[in-house]
Amino acid sequence: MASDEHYKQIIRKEMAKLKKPVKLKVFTSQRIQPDGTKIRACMDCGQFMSLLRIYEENSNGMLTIEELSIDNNPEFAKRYDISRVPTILFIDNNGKEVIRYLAAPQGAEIQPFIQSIFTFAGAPNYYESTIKQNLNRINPTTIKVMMTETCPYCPQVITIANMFAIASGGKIRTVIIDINANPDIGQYYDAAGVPYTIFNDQKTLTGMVGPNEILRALIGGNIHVSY
Amino acid sequence: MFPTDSLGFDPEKIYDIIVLGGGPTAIGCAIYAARFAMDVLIVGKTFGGLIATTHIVENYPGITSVSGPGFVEMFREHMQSLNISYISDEIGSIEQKDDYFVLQSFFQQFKARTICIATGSERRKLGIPGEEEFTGRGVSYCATCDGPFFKDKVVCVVGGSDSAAKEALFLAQNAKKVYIIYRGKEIRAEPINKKRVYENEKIEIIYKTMIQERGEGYRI
Repeated sequence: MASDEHYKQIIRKEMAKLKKPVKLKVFTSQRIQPDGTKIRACMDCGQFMSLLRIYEENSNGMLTIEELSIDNNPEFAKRYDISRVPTILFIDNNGKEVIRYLAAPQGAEIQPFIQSIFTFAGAPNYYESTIKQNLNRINPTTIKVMMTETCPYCPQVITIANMFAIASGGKIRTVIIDINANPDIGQYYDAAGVPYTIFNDQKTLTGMVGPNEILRALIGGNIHVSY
Repeated sequence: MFPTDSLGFDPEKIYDIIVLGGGPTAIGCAIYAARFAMDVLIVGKTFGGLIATTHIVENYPGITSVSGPGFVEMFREHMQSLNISYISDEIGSIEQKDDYFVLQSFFQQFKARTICIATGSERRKLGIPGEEEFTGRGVSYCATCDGPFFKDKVVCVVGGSDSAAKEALFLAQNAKKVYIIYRGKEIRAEPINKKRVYENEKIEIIYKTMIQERGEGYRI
C-alpha cells in the first residue's frame, strides 16, 4: 500500500497544508498475545494503518488517527455498526457519522480522501450553499459509492458525495466501498461497473456522474438556488 | 483537485477566461492562459477527460508510456505549478452582460470575459435494445473502470478503432476470452496495437458483424 514514492510525496505535500485539527477513528481487530502484547488480527489492518500513519505523520499534528479494536471497544463498534475491519469513520462534533471508508485511501483515492479531511476541518466547501438551500427537501440519505482502485472516475464521484455529506449537517452520510476488498458487498448489490452510486439502497446511478445528477437523485425535482 | 488548489476560486471575480471541460485540451488552454498571466479557472465534469480511462498512452511526444490515470496526475501537477483551479461542476446557462459573461450552475455563478469551450466528446453508443437497461450490469464503456469485474469471464468489445483494440488488450489481462466484434473488414487500430491484438491468444476478432440486441443471460 502506498509503496509508490510518488504517492507518498503527494500525501506529504498536501497534508502539510492542513491547518485545523481533524480526528478520524479507524476500527481494526486486535488480539492480545500471551505475553500481553497486542497484534492486529485482521490481515489488511497492518498495511492499512501504515498508510494512514503517513497522512498523520505529515500533518504537523493536525490529523489524529485513533485506532480502535472492535475486540476492545465492542460498545463503540456496536454503536457505529462496525461489521468489518478496517473501517475509517469521520464523526462530527455531535457524534454523528458523516463518512465511512471501507477502502484504503491510496493511489487515485488519495485526492478525495485529503479533500474530505480538509473540508471536514472547515475548508471551503464548493457545494455547501446549494446543499443548505435545499436541505429541507433532502431526506436522510446514505450514499454508497462502490469503487475500485483502477477506476479513473471514482475519485470524482467520491469527492462530490463526501462534500455533499459534509455540507448536509448530518442528513447525508456516505459509505465508500472498494468492491475488490469487499467483493461480497459488490455481489450483494449486483455491481458490475464502477463508480456505482446507491441512494438509501434504492435509487442507483452507474458510471461517472456529476454534482447535478447526485443532487437530482437526492431531491428528485427542481433545484432551488440563489447566488 | 486538492482542496488547497480551489481555495483561490473567487465567485465575485471576473475571470479573464473560464475554460469549460476537463480534458487535455481544456487543461492545455488553461496552462497557456496562466502563462500569459491571465486569471483562469477550469470548470469541468470529468477531470482528465476520456484519456483518464485509457489503459496506456504511448503516442504523446516526450512520454514513452504512461497510464491514463498517471497522465492525468501529471496534468494535476502541471496545474498546481501554475496555481490553476479546477471546479467539478456543470454549467447550465451562459448570459452576456456588458463586457463579460455570467455562467450559472446549480452550485455557483461565475463571471468571465472570455469562455473557452473544450468539452470534448462523448462515447458513441450502440443504440440497441438492452444497452441502456443493462448499463452497469454487464454493459460497460470503460475497461479500466470495470475490467476487474470480468475476471475469468468471456467478454466482447464492440468496435474496431484503436480504443477498441486497447480496451480489448486491457480486458485480456483478466478475462478468459475477449471477442472484438467489428462491422468492418479490418480493425483500424494503430499497427502496434493491431499487432498486439493479433498476437494475444485470448483475443478473437469477429468481422462484418453488428450487434443487434443484448440477449438475455449474456452481458455485453
